Amino acid sequence: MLVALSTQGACSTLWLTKKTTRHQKSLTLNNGAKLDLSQDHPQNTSPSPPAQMYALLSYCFPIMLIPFEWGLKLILEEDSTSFFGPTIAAAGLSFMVPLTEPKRLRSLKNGEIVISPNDNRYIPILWILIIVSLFAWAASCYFSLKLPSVTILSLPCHLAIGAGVYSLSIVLTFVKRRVA
Amino acid sequence: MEILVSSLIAAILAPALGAAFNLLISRSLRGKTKEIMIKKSSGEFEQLYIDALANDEQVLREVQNTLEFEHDVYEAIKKLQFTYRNLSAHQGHLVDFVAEYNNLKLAIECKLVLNRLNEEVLNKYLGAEDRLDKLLFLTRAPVAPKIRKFINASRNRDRVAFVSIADGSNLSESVATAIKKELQISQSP
Repeated sequence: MLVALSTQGACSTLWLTKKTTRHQKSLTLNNGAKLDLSQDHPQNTSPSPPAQMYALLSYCFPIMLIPFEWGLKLILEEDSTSFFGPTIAAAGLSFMVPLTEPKRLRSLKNGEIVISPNDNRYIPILWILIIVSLFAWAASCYFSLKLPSVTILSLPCHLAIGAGVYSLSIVLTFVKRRVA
Repeated sequence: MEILVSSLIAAILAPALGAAFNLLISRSLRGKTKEIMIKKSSGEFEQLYIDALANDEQVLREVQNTLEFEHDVYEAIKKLQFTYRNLSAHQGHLVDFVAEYNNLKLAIECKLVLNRLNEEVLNKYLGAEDRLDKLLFLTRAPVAPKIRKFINASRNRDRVAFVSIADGSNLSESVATAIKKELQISQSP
């Protein structure tokens, strides 16, 4: 069960439209929202509500999946809950793939382009981790179908692998947004 | 029911683990900087070092403030040229501006915060043009003690000067005073 999710919020393109005085600066985002630029120090700024919403969604997503899996089990009268591990692994993978898009923030006013050298170094590492995660997802499917009773730290193996891939996707998203 | 409990544990554990790692990364990067490149419309690149945990919006804000600061300095130099006709100035290739007066040549580099400087970067600035006499750093924030210490230990210490222009002070006047001092321009035009 592959779950595809968009993480547009992670790599949104912003553009500059207006410059007034030092204390009245603002950016217009691609969703039309205005961003106040009056603070000079980046560490003083908290994430905007949409960024917090995306973060909350990605943190809560595995919990949201459980009632769906359980409902499917009741409707189909088939045990789909044993496939929860591969499902969250696939969800994690679908978060990772959009992160491979290079960051290029463009300020339209004078045509400057902001490039992050860290991001250029991060993308190949991401691809390696995506391939590793693909194998992990395959392993999770294998354990789920063939060896559902095998456990790691009393957690079914397919669930442990799925949780691991999902955790990795959360870390990689954070690194892309804040570090790269 | 057992698989439901296990699924619930995995569903809570996965984001919790991710959040814990993110917290660790944040703590380890606190106070550190990351490199950002600005490709200007002229095709030239400018390197910036900003807070390691700055997100896209914060990066753009920092870039915008830096470009505005450079523009303000450029305006201040142009204003000074009206007063001192022998003062020539142009935008540099590896430094922001180069000013020249009576055979003295000054490179001017504008930084909001001068938070990273090493011998390689210093040589790059000082070698930006032929026969540069001095390098002037114009900053918005006070220069960090570690940077001052580095310059004092450098063999180029006599060729480097800093001027921090605090918010609220007259930028144009501060820039003019600094340039006049470094280029030994007399007070009267």
